[in-house]
Amino acid sequence: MKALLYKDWLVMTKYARTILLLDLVFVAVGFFSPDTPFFTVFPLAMSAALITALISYDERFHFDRTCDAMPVSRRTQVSEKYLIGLCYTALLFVLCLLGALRHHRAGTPELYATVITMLCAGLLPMSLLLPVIFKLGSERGRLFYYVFYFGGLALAMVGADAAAEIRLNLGFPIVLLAAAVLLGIYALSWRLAVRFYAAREL
Amino acid sequence: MNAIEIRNLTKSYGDFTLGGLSLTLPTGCILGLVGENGAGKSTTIRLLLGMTEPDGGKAALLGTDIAGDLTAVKEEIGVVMDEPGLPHCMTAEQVGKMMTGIYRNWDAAAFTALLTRLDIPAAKPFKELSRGNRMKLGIAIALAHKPRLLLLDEPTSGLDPVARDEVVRLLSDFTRDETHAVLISSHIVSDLEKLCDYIAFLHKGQLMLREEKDVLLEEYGLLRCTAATLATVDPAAVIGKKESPYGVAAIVRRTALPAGVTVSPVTLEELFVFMVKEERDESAAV
Repeated sequence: MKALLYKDWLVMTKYARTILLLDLVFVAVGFFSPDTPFFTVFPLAMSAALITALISYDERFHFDRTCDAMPVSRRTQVSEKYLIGLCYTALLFVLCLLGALRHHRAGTPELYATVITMLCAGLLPMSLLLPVIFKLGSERGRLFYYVFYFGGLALAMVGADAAAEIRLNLGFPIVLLAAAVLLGIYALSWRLAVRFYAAREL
Repeated sequence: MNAIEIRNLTKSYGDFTLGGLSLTLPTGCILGLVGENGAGKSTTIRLLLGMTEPDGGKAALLGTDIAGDLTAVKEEIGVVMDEPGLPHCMTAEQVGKMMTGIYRNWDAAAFTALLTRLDIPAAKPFKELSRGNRMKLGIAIALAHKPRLLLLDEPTSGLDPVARDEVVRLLSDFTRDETHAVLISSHIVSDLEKLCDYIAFLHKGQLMLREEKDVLLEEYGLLRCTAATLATVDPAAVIGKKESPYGVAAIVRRTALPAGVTVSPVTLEELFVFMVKEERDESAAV
């Protein structure tokens, strides 16, 4: 696992710099601009783009086959990508939360609504997309990428607006529950992806 | 003990079928898998590595059934694929660092020595390496974790003659240890002739023959004669023939030759080409 993380760190810093830079710009804009949910949510939705890019590079360089010829199980290969996705989402979540705290007072329903939207935007597109990518490959899964990526993002935004509209009285336990449900979906997605990738022909 | 045992392995992809392949590779030996492009050599290696599921049959690598988990046995196998696949931004040094986390037996000093011996630039990114250097890097990776079995898919393709000779010597050194074995596929038959103990011919997914190299070279000869002389030879002893206005060239079994008819030694390449041509002619006649 450590070896794959090291490899993906090198690939990320070389080939996925645009995504990392874009995320930093959006985080900065979200921090300094007046309150707009888009800038506190969009960077998180980019986690799916990053992981898809990493899988796509593995396939383009034929590293997926090289890796499969080595003593690295398919489960480890999938888990490594899910771990990067989770860590990257967690990092962006912390950065975006700092921006959200500039616009909403701690402990308010508005902040809780924003936090839930951020969690949805970070975890849902990846949870929906990655099993498809691991089953079909990044090339054939590209169509689903746009559907899940923008679909997931739109759902998160619509959900945030609806919550604000009906003045839902969100409390911290609801945030914890939402986080648990989303992490549960992410874990299910990981198990599904492991099963799909184990059956895939390389 | 056999390093590889294959029993009736089958796999179909649309119009291609690898049909009922059965092979064994004893330890201490090198088996050359010869075949034209699309004959099924890479499919065989991918099946053995569990990259694709067979439709039928069984196989075992170093005693481990390929239907099970191969992660542990892959510690003892070095693989070179037809297209060396590494991230283009990584240098050989970085690849070495990565491999320390993948193979328990990774020998960093041996890897560095192989880079020097094979003249591979250690600090150049993979994308800047020539195809030959990429293949050599693949071979260095395959050897640096002290494997017992090597599975090599076209490892000498893209190498210049000097580098090919170096690789052939490396593989010869590797099999000095009697617990080691090599399965090597190639269509550069001359390399296999230098290296292999056993030869298997694959053609359109079918195994045409599998025999000890020395037996093949002793058993068959190249007969250059007239059509009339060839007519005196038992047709069952003729493996393949080419006719031209200047006469006939045929691969024949030496033991079936009439008295007075002499043959010259045959190369594996001639043997393979004649066999494939004969099969094509027979198919065309049907």
